[in-house]
Amino acid sequence: MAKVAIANVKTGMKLLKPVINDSGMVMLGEGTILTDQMINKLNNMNISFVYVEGSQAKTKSKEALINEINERFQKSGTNEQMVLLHKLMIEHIEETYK
Amino acid sequence: MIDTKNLRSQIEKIDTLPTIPSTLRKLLSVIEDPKVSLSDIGSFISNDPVLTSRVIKVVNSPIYGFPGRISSVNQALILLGLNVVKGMLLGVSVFEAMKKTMEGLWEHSIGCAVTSKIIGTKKGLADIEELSVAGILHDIGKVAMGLKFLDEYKGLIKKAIDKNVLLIDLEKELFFVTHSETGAWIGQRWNFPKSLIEIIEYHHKPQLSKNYAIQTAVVHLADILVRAKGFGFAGDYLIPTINPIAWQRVGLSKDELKEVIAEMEDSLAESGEFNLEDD
Repeated sequence: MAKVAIANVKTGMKLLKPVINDSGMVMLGEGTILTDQMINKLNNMNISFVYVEGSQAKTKSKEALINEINERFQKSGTNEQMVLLHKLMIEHIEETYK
Repeated sequence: MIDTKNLRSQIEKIDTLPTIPSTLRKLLSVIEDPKVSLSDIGSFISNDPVLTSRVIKVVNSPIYGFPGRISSVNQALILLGLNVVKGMLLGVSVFEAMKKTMEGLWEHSIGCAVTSKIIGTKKGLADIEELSVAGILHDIGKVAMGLKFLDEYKGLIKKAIDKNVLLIDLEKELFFVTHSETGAWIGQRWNFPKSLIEIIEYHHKPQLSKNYAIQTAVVHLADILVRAKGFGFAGDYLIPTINPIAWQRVGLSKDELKEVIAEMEDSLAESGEFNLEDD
């Protein structure tokens, strides 16, 4: 799931969460594939973000993320749980970028 | 050096500091009363438009994640119940103070709330909302120390970053107590629920928690997971070590931990945008 600003929404993106207006009414349901017309309508509403299918906005490279994780874990020692957590965090990044 | 008794009385008096937001001071006078009712709290909130808008924002945020939109304060109070409402109000009222003490502490705290909720749900625990409140307030001791000793505390944070050490170890060196103790003092002084005080006091020593052992262990673990993710900032760039007893008490399998990490990704992305800045 990715959170995308209305300005960056493109035709064909699939909504993972419904779009709800200020009075709580569902304007577009979950699973809707966005069309140009719908995007125009969203632009006219007081809505800043939508949630669409796809992985996280990949603002950083996989290597950069893994380096950051390794750095944070550098002093966490050989405690069994920390070793497991470190491993799973790296696995998670690997899978996200598959 | 500051002696502990003296320190405690100074920390307990932070509600009289001029830097304390007036909403928080007013709120404390309401929730410190052990006989306060939901309807007293309801009218207190409704009389304050800023507080009203924050309460509505918070109950519709991923921290609580109720399905559908909650549009009235009364509806929120009924859904959450007295204890959770008290904690939530404290959370939204310490928001400014958190921002002032440490850039990123608010994000760390909501991250911890969201993650505690994810773990609590996975383990089928009761009172998940109370866990969320504990997540938001677990580092309130840092806010207290930062408000009372702003320059010294900022100095500690800088030192923690420069030397790449844990802030909590530097707190101990300078104050002989840590934010866990100062947080618990504040909690006692402000009449927090007992469970909340115990979680705050032992979130770094979860093996010592007797009455709320699982809840404390969950928040301990959530704190570590949020830091491991690099979400928000809690005063240093390291990750404290998971306590093996707490780990056992929570009892997450390897696969469950993996699921928690994946679920955090989505929830944290949502709460990353979640801000109480009044618009």
